[in-house]
Amino acid sequence: MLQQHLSAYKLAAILLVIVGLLVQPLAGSSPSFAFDDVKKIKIPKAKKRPSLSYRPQSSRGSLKYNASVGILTLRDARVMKFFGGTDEFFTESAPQAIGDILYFELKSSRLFKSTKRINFTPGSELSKAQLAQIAKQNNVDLLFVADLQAFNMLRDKMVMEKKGVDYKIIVRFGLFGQLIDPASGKILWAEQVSREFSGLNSTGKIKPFDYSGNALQAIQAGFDDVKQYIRATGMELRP
Amino acid sequence: MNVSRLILSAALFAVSVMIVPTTATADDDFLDSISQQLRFREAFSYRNKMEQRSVTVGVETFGKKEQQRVLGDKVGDFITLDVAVTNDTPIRLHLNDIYVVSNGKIARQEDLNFVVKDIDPGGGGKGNLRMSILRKSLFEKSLQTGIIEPGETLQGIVFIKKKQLKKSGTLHVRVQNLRQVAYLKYEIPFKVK
Repeated sequence: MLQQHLSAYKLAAILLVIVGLLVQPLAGSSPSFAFDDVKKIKIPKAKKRPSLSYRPQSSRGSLKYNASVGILTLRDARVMKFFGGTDEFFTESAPQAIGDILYFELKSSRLFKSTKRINFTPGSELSKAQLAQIAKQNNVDLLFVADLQAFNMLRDKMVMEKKGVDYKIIVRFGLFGQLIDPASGKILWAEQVSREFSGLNSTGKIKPFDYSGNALQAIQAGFDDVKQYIRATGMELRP
Repeated sequence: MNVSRLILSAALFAVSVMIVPTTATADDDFLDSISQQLRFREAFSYRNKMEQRSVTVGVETFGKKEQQRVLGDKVGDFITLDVAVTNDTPIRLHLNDIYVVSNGKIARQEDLNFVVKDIDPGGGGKGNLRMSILRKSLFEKSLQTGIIEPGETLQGIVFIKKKQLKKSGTLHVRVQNLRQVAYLKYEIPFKVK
């Protein structure tokens, strides 16, 4: 009888050790949160959505172009919206907000004598005559046309196993811009910039703070690149 | 005797449970697709192509086997086009616009989230892992507008809804000169496999 009891206790103890072994992290391959689940990524409630607005840093550099520039409405050339087929992860519509930032950034860059917004969304083909007309109507010397190529949230699993909630949350920003002299039809500067910022998330849920900071950093860094490239590689205008 | 057999079975079970997660994910098609790309070619080697002023655009459709290899699964509601633009000029270009005309109607690539929904990698831990791979894959392997440097080929997948593209179509591509405002237009007829 006693022997039977002892065997049962022995068996229970061994099973306990095995279960313990299963639950604890094993040689680094299974993370400690291996049995957590990733929650469905939901659009935040309207009042909790972060804003894409920020104050750009002004430049003390010298004028690059002694000319006025008109900035046409930003075209949305993305293949995907921010995440899950929607841009509603922010207070503002992403192309609208990034279009605003484009204007503020170029205005504070001191690259141009003056900066003006032009409420005209260009199509995929702009003729020289059309550009000259837009410039004349708005009384500007140069035109800036830009495409939003990327503003997306992507996720990258840190440990390539089906279990675990260890995801890197990446925000990617890409923009193509061109500075056009409408009088001659010449393109003074054309470049595309791309930036991405990321952070590790291991909660299984995505909250606004998981992507908003990275989104702003990526946009800011992208526009810093645009301004530096225009200053460094933009063709000079002959008087 | 029975107790020791029981202990041995429990221990073997525990070891098998510990091994399974690593081997199960190793055979996943979505994981395999991370290292798979479209076979890189210049546009003039495509079955359907058009050349103008040393700029060539090529298009071919590809089927379920290739979809599975590149994306991890088949795409049900979409025709997949492999499109390449080769710039053999000394001038920088910009790929401005891509669309298909079929039966007189224009079909554009829709938001790639529709492709994600169509493939539907499922939910739970496994589904989430696959979803993250698929989104990144679609983002990186699809054809997007952008600069084509001299000597460079821009290549990628264009997804067009099956109901918008019948047995044949015409691929329309517009390329911009980045020295001065001028465009090249391409119209390439192709047949769906």
